Amino acid sequence: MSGELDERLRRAFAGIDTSAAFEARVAARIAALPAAPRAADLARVERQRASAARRLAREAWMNTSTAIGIGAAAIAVVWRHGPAVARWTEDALAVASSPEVLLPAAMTVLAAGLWPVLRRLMPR
Amino acid sequence: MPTDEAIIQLVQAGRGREAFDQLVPAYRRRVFGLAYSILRERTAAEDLAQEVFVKLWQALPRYDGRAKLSTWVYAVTRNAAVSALRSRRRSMSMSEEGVLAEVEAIAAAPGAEPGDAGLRRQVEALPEKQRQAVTLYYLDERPVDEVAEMMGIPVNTVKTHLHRARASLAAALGTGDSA
Repeated sequence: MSGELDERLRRAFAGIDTSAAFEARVAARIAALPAAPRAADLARVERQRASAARRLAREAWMNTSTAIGIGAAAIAVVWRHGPAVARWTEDALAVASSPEVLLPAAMTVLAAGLWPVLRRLMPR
Repeated sequence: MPTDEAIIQLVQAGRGREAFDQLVPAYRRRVFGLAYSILRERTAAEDLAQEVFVKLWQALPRYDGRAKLSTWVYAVTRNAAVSALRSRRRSMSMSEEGVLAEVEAIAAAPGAEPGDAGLRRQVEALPEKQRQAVTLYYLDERPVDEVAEMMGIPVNTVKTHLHRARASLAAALGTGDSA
């Protein structure tokens, strides 16, 4: 490679550079960007998340307690009034097994079960 | 000049602002040079280089260090420059006359000699990749392997582009230098 051509090419490209204010302009462009989420906003979101987690934990505890309470009450009733409960159950089953009661009851249960599905299909 | 390793360490330590403050001076010339080699206009190249640094600022927290820092910076710059070039060609805001006017202005800059304008015109007339290789190689006298990394092509391809460009320029200028 010719040293002369090399030198001429170097000279031809000499002086091509950014302006002196380049870095200041980059900084100005960055400063003009939409602000990132502020610390206060992030803290608020974190508080909301923690509050929702506490509420869910409380609800789960309440549901468990309710289920245990109902189960315990049912066992206590059967324990203390076993014969009466058995009689009552037999009478209820006898009544429920008659076609006059069974059919409307089955229809009611079916309608209640299907209601959420039907509601979705209905036009708004 | 801060090293890439130092900048990466700052990023990984969550000190993005300090990392960026070191990244800009370390890469200013290279980002500008790469943008200039593609856009061929100083003002547009400077504007694009600023835009590239804004993109880097936004992306820096997500930089995971898997790719080399320089490779990442050059890829962002190349993509932005090619995209800008396409939109400029669509809008035709920069005509060939505009490029030549800039060539004349640069040739008339202090330190330039009268023959430099003719040489710059010959460089502008080179095929795109040859012109880009010559620009990157002579703008900052970068080594060939770095020019290859900046262009995203193999080193031997850059050597071929440079060889052919020199031969064309020597023939056009009638210097008889082609090796």
